[in-house]
Amino acid sequence: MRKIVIFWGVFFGLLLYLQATSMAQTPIMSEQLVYSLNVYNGKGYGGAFTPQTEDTIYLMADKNSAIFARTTLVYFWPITAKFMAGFQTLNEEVVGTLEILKGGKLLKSLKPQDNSLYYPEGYWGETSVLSIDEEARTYYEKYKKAVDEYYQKISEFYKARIEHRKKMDEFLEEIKKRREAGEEFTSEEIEKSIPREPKPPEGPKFYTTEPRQDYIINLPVGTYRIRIRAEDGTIIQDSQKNLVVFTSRRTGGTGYEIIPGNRWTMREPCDDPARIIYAAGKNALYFNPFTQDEYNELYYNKLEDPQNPGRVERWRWVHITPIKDVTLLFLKGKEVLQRVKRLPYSVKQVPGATLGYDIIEYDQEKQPYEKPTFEGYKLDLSPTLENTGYQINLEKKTGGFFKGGKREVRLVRKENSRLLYALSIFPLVIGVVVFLKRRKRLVP
Amino acid sequence: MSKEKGFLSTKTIKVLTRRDLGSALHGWGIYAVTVISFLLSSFFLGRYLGGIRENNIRISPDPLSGFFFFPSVIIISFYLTVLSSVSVSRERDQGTLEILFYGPVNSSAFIFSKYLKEMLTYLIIVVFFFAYFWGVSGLTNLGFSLGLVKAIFLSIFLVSCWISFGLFISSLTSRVRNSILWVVGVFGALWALYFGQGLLLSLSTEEMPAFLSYMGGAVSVIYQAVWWISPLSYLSRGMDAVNVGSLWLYGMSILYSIIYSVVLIILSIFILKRKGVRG
Amino acid sequence: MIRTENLTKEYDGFKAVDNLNLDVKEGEIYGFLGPNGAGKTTTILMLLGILRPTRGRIYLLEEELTKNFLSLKRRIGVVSEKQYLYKEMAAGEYLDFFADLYGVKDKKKKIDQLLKSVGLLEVKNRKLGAFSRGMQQKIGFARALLPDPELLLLDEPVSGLDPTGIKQIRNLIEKENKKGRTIFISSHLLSEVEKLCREVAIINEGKLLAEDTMENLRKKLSKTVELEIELSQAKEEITKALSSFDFIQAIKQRENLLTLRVKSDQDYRAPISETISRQGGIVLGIKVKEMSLEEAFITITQKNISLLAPLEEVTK
Repeated sequence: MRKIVIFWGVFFGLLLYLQATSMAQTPIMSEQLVYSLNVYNGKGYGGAFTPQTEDTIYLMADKNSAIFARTTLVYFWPITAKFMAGFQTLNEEVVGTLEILKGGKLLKSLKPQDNSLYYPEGYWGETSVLSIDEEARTYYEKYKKAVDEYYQKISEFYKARIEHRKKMDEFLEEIKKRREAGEEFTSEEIEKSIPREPKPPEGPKFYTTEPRQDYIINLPVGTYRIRIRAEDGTIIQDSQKNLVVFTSRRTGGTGYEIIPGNRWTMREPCDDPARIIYAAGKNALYFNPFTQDEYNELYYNKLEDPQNPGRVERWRWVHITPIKDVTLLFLKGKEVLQRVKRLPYSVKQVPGATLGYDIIEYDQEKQPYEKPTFEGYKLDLSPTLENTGYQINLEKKTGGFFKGGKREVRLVRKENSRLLYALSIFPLVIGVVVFLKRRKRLVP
Repeated sequence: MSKEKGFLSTKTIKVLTRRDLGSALHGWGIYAVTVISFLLSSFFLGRYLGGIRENNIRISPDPLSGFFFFPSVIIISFYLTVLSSVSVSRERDQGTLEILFYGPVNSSAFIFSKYLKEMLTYLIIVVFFFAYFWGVSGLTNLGFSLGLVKAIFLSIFLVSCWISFGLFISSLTSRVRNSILWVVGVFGALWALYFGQGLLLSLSTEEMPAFLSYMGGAVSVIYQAVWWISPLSYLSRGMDAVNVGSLWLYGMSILYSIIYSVVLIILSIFILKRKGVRG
Repeated sequence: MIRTENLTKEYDGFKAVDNLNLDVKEGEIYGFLGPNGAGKTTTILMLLGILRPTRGRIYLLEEELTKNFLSLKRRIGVVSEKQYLYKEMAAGEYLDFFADLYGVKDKKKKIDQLLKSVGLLEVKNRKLGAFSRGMQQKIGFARALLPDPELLLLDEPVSGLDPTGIKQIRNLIEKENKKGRTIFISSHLLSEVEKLCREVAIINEGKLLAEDTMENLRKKLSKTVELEIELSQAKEEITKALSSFDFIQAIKQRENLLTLRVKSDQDYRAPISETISRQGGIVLGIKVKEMSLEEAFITITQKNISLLAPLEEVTK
């Protein structure tokens, strides 16, 4: 007994110590060779870095991805349980030739190339393109030119605005004088002769990053090995990594992001067609459909950030582009119960002491200074509906359904949850029957 | 020494199994444990339904197969492990094992019958599972899906690992009390190991003091070894297969469980032969 | 029915059974006698294949035990000292279970017959946990008789029973023997074996001390008395002179104490003391010890094997 108490005492003491250790340590910086990444993720480009703890880099097949080796300071950040790079403190380029090997044989030797990211819909847009060499420089020049022109226009705009204010003052002075002189004007006459305010210029709609030097990798599906050979012919220490190049398992699926009416910030993905949408009571659900591709979870997670965890046995759908011009159908069997169009919505806080909000349909005329909070296909579920046999699906404008757009909707009977406890004791009833039957057979 | 001819007499196994199963069914344990596990599932289900009420929505491929089924399986597995862990030692302790061996019973038939009895007990519980989840589905409208059927089917193999492990412990021990202490001790140590491993993994090796780093390495090596020895790992592997929804993992989980069970049953037979009916 | 050749069981150098050679003939009631710890149960466990012998061979029902081991065991009934029953089962259920195990045909009729013969038919549906020691022993008998065995192995069958119970079990054994069954009784009670057995083997410390008919054994053990003679001084001439008498079967000397095994057909104290005086010895006292069969058995199993051994060997 005493031994057991001592054992558990030591064990839990150690656990507490470990726990305390994990929380109390100050970050230790270590100088490492890391790869900074700018990789294609199926819909655009994303950046990350590969610390020494990760021995594999994951890239999408047949797409340009940019990587470069740098020496920087790396430290562990316990809150995210990830390593962070201090590029601001140390960012030293590792110069050399990137060698790609396949099955131990040298496949390619790459020199750094100029590259930049081109965002045709602007910096916050969903698409981005990696341009290289001349194209990168051209795009950047084009962007720089557009920005210069914009600044020129801005300058002109400010001048015009000063001019406008001046004219406005003169106009108001003149109106004042003429009024004092007994002259009368209609508002239409004033409107007609008022100096027009200059419109501010619009900035460039696109965005391009400044070209930089990276190794541009574009490979078919497979596993490779990379390393950097220095100018003196030696392999640079810590530059060797595995390279996994992969592609999607399935493409062209349909996924949803569902916004529950009563918690609009808690968006629920519903990507796998096998997933069932369980709903309860009176509901308003806002659906946002996307086209989606399916990737290996481990590969894709590691592609997004080499430090992400993931399972090689699991697959994940990745939303590619929003589906907008369709009709969402709410069906029971083949019967269409609701046909829903995509609409913009505004979230309005309920004024006063009552906490909460209302989601109302956005009306540009009534809300000229607002933008819609979100857009979606609103589905109203009534508690009077029967429980099973419902689906949603997406109907194309040209007719027919979107591939993989069907989902099952079940309305749960939450009111029966107490009956579950009664259901739980049925084995005991069987036990009593067995017991009584046997007791009848036996004599005391 | 006498060679035990008729290595596995199916008739003997059948008779032994029938007696043991009858004895189990006439007791209260199987019903009580099943009810406890169902009450736990019902509690979780109630919370889950409450969650849907709060959020208006819950998206899941098959909630019954994951959240609510496996906690029940863990409780029942542990109960069956304890039962199997005392199955040999109790008969040895009470002397009934010797009486059986006076007759046409050998170590193989005896161990196999004990295994079969616990498996049949679980199959009866599986029938209860089907009835319970069918009832749950009817009451709540959470779907009784193919996924749940697959999870229940897989659980038979996972529980087999626990039962074989219990049998192995039982063949090693001569007293009921020792068997229970062993099972509780081993499971306690395994949980502690999993917990310790999880905690050490959450730490960066660079942040650790040297002795913790060494300890982490040692724990990691032990964990790797235990990963193939512990029945908990087989259950967690199976749960993972259901959770991930990978057919490959599902198949491998079944295969690993079969291999594990067979190895432990053979070891139990061997130990019983070596140790004898009197311990 | 049972034959062993140099049967030996060793545990870490300790010989529990040492070169045991038994021969039990068909239809016999064979007594296997020995004090507690003599190696009786070890022998039985080896006969049943439960213990692996270190050396030696076992033949049961004319077959070597290595062959058809399990089918051989179906032809043997065993009653142990304690019955170790499944207490949660009713008597009828218990016998039904063993009937299935042994593959007994027409089991219901057979079970009722056996319960009737052991006087337990009325309690067929009572749980075994509620049975007295005697009832448990009887259930053990019924279980052993279920497969209609050719050979019954009984290990201390009446141990712990009251006189009525002993009588009932004894009657049962005799009845079963009359049906032609060979019965092997292992016991530490000579009185029990004496009443039932025609052939007896005595084992002590794993060694077979004697294997003979009960009649011969009785003659050896009960037709003698033991004389303890205290002398003023022991002399070799006295022992020599006494050994010439044919009524003296064995002589043992320890310092001034002479122990003689003497025929009990008449009182030989006078010629013995006269011979001692003639050889210059002085008799200080003579004690006469008349042993019962039980005492003789106890004596011989407490290392005094001289009583069973040939006289010449002992005197030398």
